[in-house]
Amino acid sequence: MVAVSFEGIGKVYDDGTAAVVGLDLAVEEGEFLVLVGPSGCGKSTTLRMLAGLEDVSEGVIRIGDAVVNDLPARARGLGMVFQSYALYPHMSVEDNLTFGLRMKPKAERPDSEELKKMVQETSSMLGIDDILEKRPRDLSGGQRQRVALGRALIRRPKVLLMDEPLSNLDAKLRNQMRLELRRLHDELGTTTIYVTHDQIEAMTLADRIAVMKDGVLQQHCPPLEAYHKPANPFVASFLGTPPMNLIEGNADGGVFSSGSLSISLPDHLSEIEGKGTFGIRPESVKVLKDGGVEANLSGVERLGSETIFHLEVEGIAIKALWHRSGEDAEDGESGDWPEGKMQISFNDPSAVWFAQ
Amino acid sequence: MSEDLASRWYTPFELEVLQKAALLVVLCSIPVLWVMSLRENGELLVLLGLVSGLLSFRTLGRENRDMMMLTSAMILLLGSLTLYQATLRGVAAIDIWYSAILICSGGYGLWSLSSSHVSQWLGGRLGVKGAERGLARNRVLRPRWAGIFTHALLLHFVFIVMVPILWIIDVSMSPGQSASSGLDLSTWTLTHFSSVLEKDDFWTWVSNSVIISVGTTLLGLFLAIPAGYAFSRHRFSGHGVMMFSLLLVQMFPGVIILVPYFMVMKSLGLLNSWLGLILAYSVTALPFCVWMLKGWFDTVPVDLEEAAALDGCGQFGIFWRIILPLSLPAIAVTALFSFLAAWNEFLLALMFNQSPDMYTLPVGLAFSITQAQKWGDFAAMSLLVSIPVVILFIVFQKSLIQGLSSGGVKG
Repeated sequence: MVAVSFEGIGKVYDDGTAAVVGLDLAVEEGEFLVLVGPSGCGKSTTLRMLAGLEDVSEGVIRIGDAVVNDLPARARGLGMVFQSYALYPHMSVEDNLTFGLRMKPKAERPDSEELKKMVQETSSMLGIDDILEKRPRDLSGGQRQRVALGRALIRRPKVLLMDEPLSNLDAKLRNQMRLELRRLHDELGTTTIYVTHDQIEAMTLADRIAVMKDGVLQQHCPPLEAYHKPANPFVASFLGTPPMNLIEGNADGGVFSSGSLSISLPDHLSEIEGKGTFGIRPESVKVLKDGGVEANLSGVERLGSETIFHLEVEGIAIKALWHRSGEDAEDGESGDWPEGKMQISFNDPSAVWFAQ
Repeated sequence: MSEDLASRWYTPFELEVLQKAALLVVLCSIPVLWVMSLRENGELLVLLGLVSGLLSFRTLGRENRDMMMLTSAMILLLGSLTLYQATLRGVAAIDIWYSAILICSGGYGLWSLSSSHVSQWLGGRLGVKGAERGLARNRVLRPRWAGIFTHALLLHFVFIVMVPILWIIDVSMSPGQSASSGLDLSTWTLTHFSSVLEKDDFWTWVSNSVIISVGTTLLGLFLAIPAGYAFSRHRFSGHGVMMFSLLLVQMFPGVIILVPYFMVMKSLGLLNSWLGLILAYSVTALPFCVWMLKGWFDTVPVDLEEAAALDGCGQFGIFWRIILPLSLPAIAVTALFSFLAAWNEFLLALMFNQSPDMYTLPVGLAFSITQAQKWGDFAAMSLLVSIPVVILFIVFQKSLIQGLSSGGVKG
């Protein structure tokens, strides 16, 4: 069942800038969708339109079957976690959690006993039961994050919205919260829409990701599919570190040429003809003893668990990646590179082609 | 990095302390010179004290070793002479105080400059190890010694600020109606206070002032809070012009609008009424209040409002449950400001409310001294008038600091 759908959504601000253009997107019940893209790509605007914090310029937003375009934010039954957490500074943690419940119309408002139970449930789920009396200013960043999450979850929202919720945490805490968010989602099954510019968060959290650029949806699919079969060069270069190698050129009879570089295409691309972009992930670039294309080594980054080679082939910058420390050489690969030269091969079944 | 980094950066803390001592001598010499010239006695010594203080202040530094010693000795000598001269004609408090400052400052100068460490430094014989030891010595000893002269300096400022208040307290407690102060504690009585408190007029004025000030505060806040909020959160046509025109009113002295105000109040029939003054004061205080509150509201993150909107609040609920509770410090400051402005205002009150039963306290105070020269009663009454102000400041002190520092400065 579809929980949220955007149908032809556009957003134009008063000053004429178009933040979102013709967005069609459906979020399934219980799905974890991550909206991801560089800053200014319209992902936050999309989320805010759904939340009712921004007017919709064109198109229809549905939550379930209901059109919510002109419904006030409070009527939409959503929970939201803000980047700044936006905890009410003058209220205790407990009051922050229950504020939304207490604001409900009299008929739906839980009595104090239920309220207590819900606080108890939510706070123990998030591990904040020992700080209920404290004020937000006395909490650490991680605790604030949990309270903000609790405030959004306690009302059992139809859809949980998160706008860059982890970006104010330090790296270690961020990793920890990322796992926890995914665990919570698996436990509760709440439909979640999550906005981030961080591709690692997108890859690890999402059931499906929606990659956006300049207000336009680029690709909407499970994260690994976007990684292996990017819809266009932008998605290819946005996902993955280091990004995919992209070479513009010409394919003709199983041979790809770009400037003075000429390589034979992998088998699955041998049928390709015409202009386009050849893409290959750094980890798919093979380093050989001989029989490959000669490349100049311009730099090596040794990260311990992996090694990144910065190469240059006929004036084109190429990155290659080994998933090991790279001090030793294995069969078929050269361990030392005389005068900074390497032999590399682009012949890999994961290579992709974007026709122009 | 060269090895003599320590020597290059090292100056004994004594020089810093001496600088403060010299400043103290100069600052004290000025009023004393004035007093002495009134007495026509001993100006020369004080003048010399002033000059040597200035000299000592100017000549601090390694290269002026002899000059520093000389001025210190001068100051010490002048202090002793002042004391000696005073004993010849009868010692007054001011003589003891002034000569004590001179003797302490000069004595400290001589003592510290001739101590072995400082004289080695002055002679350039300290070396790197010595300079490093000196830096450590500075860290330990500087706070203590610098503190002494800093506090001496500050206490003098406190005294200067306190003089008028002490004076009026003394006048209000001393028997008789003279305005001069003798500070004779043994004769202090509360008769002036009781005579003021027994007057019916006084209580009429108090109630007028309270009603008008509280009314002004409430009306001012009622107008300024929504206005400030709107100016902070919304951009509408005429936004900038309106904000500026609020300031424009503040640019001109109040006297300019006095006559038009009077005409308006007269035609509205609001002369000799509470409402007339309440309206006038609220309008006068409004620009400051609106700007102040706008500045505060600007600092309240919009995220909070959006979170509240998702939590089920409407526009008014957001304002009432989130913005207002968070703005209490700023509201306290604006309330205090409006209250004080109304409580202390004299000119408008004098013009509008001319019948004695409608006087406010400042007007009543002024008339009570023009009718009879009863300075004792006047002093007692003015102290009574300031009591609410003092109480308000004490009560609101915390939010005042918070409100002024985060709302006012940023806005």
